[in-house]
Amino acid sequence: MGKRTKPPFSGEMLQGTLDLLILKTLALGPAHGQAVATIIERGSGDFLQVEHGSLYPALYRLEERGWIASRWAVTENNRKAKYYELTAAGRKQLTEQTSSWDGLVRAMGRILHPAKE
Amino acid sequence: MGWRRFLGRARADFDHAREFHAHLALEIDDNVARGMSLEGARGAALRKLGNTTLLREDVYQMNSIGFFETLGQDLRYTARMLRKSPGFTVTAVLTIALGLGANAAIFSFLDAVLLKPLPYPQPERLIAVSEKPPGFDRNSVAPANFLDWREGSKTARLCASTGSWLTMTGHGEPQRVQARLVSYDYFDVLGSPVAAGRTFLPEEGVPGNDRVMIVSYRYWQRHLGGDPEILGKSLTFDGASYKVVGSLPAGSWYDRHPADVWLPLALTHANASREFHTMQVFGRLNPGATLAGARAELNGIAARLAAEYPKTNKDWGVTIDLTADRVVGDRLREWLHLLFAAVGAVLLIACVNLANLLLARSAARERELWVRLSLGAGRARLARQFLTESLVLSLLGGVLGCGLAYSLKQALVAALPPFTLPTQVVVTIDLSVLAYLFAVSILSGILFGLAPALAAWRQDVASGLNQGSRGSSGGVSGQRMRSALIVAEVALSFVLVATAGLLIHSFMRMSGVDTGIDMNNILTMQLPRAMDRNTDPAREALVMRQIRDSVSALPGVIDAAVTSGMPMQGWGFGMPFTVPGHRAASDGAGQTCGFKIVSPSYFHTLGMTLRTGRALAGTDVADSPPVAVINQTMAKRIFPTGNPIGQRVVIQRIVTGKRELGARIPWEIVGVVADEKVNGLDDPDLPGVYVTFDQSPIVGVGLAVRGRGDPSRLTKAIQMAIWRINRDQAITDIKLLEQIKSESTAGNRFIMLVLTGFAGVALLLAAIGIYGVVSYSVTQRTREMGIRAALGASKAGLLALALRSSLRLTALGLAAGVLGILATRTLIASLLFDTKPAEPSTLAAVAGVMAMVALAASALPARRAASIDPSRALREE
Repeated sequence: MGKRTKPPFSGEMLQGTLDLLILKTLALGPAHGQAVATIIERGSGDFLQVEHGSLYPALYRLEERGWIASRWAVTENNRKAKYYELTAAGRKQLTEQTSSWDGLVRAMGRILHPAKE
Repeated sequence: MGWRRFLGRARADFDHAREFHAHLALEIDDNVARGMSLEGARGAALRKLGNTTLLREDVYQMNSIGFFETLGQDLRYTARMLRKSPGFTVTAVLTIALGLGANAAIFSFLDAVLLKPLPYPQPERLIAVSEKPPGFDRNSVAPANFLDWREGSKTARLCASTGSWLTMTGHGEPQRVQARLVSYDYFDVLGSPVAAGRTFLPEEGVPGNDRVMIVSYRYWQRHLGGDPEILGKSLTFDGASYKVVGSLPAGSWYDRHPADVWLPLALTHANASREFHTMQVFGRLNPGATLAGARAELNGIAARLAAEYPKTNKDWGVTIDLTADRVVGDRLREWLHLLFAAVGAVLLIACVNLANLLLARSAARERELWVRLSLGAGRARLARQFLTESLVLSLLGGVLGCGLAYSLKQALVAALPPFTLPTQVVVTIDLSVLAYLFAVSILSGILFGLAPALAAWRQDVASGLNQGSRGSSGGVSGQRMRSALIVAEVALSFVLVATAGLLIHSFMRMSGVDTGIDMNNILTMQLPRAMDRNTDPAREALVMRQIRDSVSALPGVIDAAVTSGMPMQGWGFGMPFTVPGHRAASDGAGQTCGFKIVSPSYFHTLGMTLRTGRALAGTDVADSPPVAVINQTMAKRIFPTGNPIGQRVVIQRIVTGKRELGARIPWEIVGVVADEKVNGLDDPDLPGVYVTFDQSPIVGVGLAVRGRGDPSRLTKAIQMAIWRINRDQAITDIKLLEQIKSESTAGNRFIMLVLTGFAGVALLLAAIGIYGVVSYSVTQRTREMGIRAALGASKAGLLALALRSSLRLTALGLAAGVLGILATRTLIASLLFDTKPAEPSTLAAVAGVMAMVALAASALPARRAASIDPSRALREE
């Protein structure tokens, strides 16, 4: 719906990518939104910058689909934050999306670097 | 998108706000941990997080049902705008209500007459069967032919019906009762059952067993006192007793039928004529049968009958239509289409007016638009805002139009001449009319909202800001659109007003037509009598002669005449004729003439002009040689060169008291009389023959009385004179001949008045539209006018300047309107009497009137412009 929710690089794949990254991050354990963003950015060697304009809509979308769940909790710094964690459905989704991502990467690789074969 | 989330989103939004807040705090913590100053950490975090409000809005939008969401906003905004300018709102809603109301009212007629199915089960299986004589397509059916069709047909179950009347005597003044004689299975074939009692039995369709009747609810209530025990009772008419076996449902189409009672048609081969075509035949297709099959079959039977009875049936075929197609006459259909087109035009004009109003308003709202655009509102969103406004206006108009439609429909139904609509038709404002009204409301809302919406869409922020307060809609393109709308409006109104003008012209021509009769001071009445009694021709002739003599002897009466047909109400009879020795008319088939049976005083009483020879005379009696006076059309057609006097025209006798023709006899032509308008004012003159009542007595005639001065005051005396001769004679339809004349044109007058009303509305709307546009452009040009005035322009010069463009647009519109009339002329040609569909005098007059109206509408604002005070005008900006 709302037109302005589109991520800066629009396209199905990129949006799906963020979803996958969030799921992967949460597979390591519950985390709040800011932590998710930090983990992704650090984990990618700051190559990926998570736009908060995309992060939160993505989190709400995943929650809506029942792949992650949220609750308010206290951080180690004693601040209140909303923590997200993977649900069983989310875990299954992560496996599926990981393997289809791998398939996609392999397929792309074969086309982009045919000499290697 | 779930409703639950939609409804829960206010709470969710609060949650999100907290979450973003937490995010910010965590980010600052991180930044501080990485060694930033608190101030720097805070700034970096805020920059990174971006506009949280926007983010919240986005998420909020995710959870909304966007369209309805913004619709709510638009509606609230619209309501505010409309409340703020009540003058505009009221004008707009009234205008559109007028257009919509008129539309829905006419649509309710169209729907009832043309779209709704007939009130019978499976109406698409009902067929109307007519005989097809040589020369034309549909004729009533001879009873004997009907019987043969009915017995031979395997494709359809056929029924016949015919009109008749009974006289109820013994209760004060004799009363005429309209009867419908119908085949015993009429009600079953129609599928339109009785409310109580039973329908007729097969054996009641036989002479001798037919003294039973079914009464309509109307007659039962009005004339039988609603007697609950009516079934099984006997009523006496014309000295015979009829047992009531059934009654018809209340409020059904039967109640709108002219007939009061239904009687079984007692028809057998023994009493059925093949010469008198008196029956209306309809039928229901049998299961599996098709219309084409029925046509083939009945034409086959007709061909067999033609071979068997060449004298009567040679070249007569059969025409079969779906009943639904015959219930509504072509004339009514054409009128309805014309009226519907007219209200369509009125609605279009109303829409154009509103589009103009809204355009002018949106020009005034330009600032608001720029502000909203530069704050990031989407063009589509703004255009939608305008459409919402126009839709709200049109729906409000629709609601008001609903009431208007109802009152207009009521008024039209009340003013409608009787029996204009088929009896099966009830005009109501029902769900289908309301659905139509709703659809048209939406459509016109979109139509008149389109112009301002487009203008909003094309709004250019930069150029808008550059133009300062002058506004781009005041610029070239907006002006052009408004001008085009005015041209369209003037053109449409011209077409409508000109059509009304043509109808008025046609009506005046028709009313002024020479009837061949001196219409003044003539009172007419019908003296109905039942058929099928053992009438003695000589006695009948005597009684009618006595009645005529005693009426004409009354003081105040100049003359009185008996006739089988009043002027403008038909000949009474149409007969095939031959003229021995005359090629065209000797062959028997194909030549028919009107046949009017009159007392010799007819020509004198009605003031008709004898052309040559002599009139009919009191000496032309039963045992003297049969003589005839023919009309001028017949003289011209049959005897274009020779002298008709002394020639003979061979026409069959009419058997007195029966629907039967007798011997073929020669009538000697003794005179030629000027044509009278026999079948109404717009009927072409047809060949016709007049013979004396004494030589061709019939039952059931009319009486025309010419009085000295107003003859209505003679009514009582005339009735008494008639009843002195025959106490049981019913006297009906007492009216002035003038009244018959105005009734014969009542339909035309009705349509003319209604259309003139619509044309008036169109003209008014056009005037308002022109006024609005001129006063807007004058306001826009205040400064220019001021400068001109300051530079010494005269008042007259300024006035001319202000008027020039509106007059140019009017002229353009009128030119387009003339083209429109030329394009639609075939549509109205058939509805006009002795009037060209593009009668130049009418068109010129209408164009003149419209030019005057346009001038008046523009003069008001133009005068304001001309009397402008230069110093004030220049200071204003």
